[in-house]
Amino acid sequence: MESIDEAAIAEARRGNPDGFRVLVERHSRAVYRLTYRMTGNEHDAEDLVQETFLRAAKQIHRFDGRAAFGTWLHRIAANCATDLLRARTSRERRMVKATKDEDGAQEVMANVAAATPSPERLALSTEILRLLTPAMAQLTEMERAVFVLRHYDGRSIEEICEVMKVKPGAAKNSIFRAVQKLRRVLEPALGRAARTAV
Amino acid sequence: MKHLSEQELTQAYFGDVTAEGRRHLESCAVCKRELQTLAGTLDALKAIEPPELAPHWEEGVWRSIESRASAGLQRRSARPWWMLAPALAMVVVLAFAAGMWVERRSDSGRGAMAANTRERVLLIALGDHLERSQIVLAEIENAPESKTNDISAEQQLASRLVGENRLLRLTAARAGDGTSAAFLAQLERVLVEIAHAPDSVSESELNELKGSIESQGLLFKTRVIGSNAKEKGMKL
Repeated sequence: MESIDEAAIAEARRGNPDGFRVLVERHSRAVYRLTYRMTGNEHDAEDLVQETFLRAAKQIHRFDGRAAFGTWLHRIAANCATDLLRARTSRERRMVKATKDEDGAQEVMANVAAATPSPERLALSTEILRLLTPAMAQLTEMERAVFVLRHYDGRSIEEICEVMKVKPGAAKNSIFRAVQKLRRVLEPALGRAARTAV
Repeated sequence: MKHLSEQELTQAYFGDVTAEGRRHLESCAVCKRELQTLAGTLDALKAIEPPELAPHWEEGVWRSIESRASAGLQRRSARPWWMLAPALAMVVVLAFAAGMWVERRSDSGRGAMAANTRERVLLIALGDHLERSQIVLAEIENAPESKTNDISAEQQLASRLVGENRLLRLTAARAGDGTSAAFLAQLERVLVEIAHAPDSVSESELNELKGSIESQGLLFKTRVIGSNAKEKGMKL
């Protein structure tokens, strides 16, 4: 399977779009699963898939082949999502500041929640989805990327170090800080949801 | 008894726990409960399942990015060529200038044909020049912003393009093509700005460069005028 990627990458580097198309067909679903879990929103996830592959096309000459192509691609996806979430959070902050009333803030949160698909299918995670975007936006680029690669992608610390060009200690610290920040936002909500369920 | 730290619990969740830590977790109810809470949160995050995608969904993804992705790939694969191209274009332009000089001394019967050839050479040279300028402008305009941005490759190419641009602008002005001359003057200002920028620019400096390109719609104009020139030159 990896050799198909290798052949496709070699073609893409020569400027052959068919080579790149193979990579899109082989990896776009995995990238979508990742971006959806990071944003909790179908439309954002699809936009991020496109953005990820466009960035990958521009940067494919920088892919050195030491990590798996999928890992490299997921790092780009995590960075694309970071940019989107950061832009959105700062826009929402400005909106909340401008309206300066609670209704305004609630509306912003309602908009985030309204875009989530099939909440009944997601059971407890409705509450998490509502908070996912602001929670993820609190992470730094590095924290988000290593957390996503470790938690959602199940990549080993060694693989993460390879693709992120960091030392194991730095990767572990980033994962820890990401978990800390996420817990701070999500655990009170999860507690409320659990109590409601009881 | 010393409980596991939050960092140790996080590592334990991801399966990275020492033998001592594992033994402690087996015997300590407090740490076990802490780990369960942590696992509950992280598992809940993981449990978010994306909606089902249509059977040929990835084909739609490809269709929507095909032209832009292809342009991105071409740009990269074209790099070795455009690093050499300014010198070739300069030769073409010089040949054109020499042709003009010779043509002034030729008889009027050959004049019409020479003028036709001259226009063709000029248009193709202009098209090539604008194609490479477009690469510089697009790279700058699409560069992701960070605290420091390495634009040395674009800066080097812009430096080479400035001289060529000047020559083309003067030729266009001499030939009475005021529109092309005005456009090339506009492009020259931005190329000079890029060429004189440092190798590594700050986020605000990068935004200023982007602003110069965007405010004049320069990338679009370069693309349109360049492809028109080339097409017209080929027809001649």
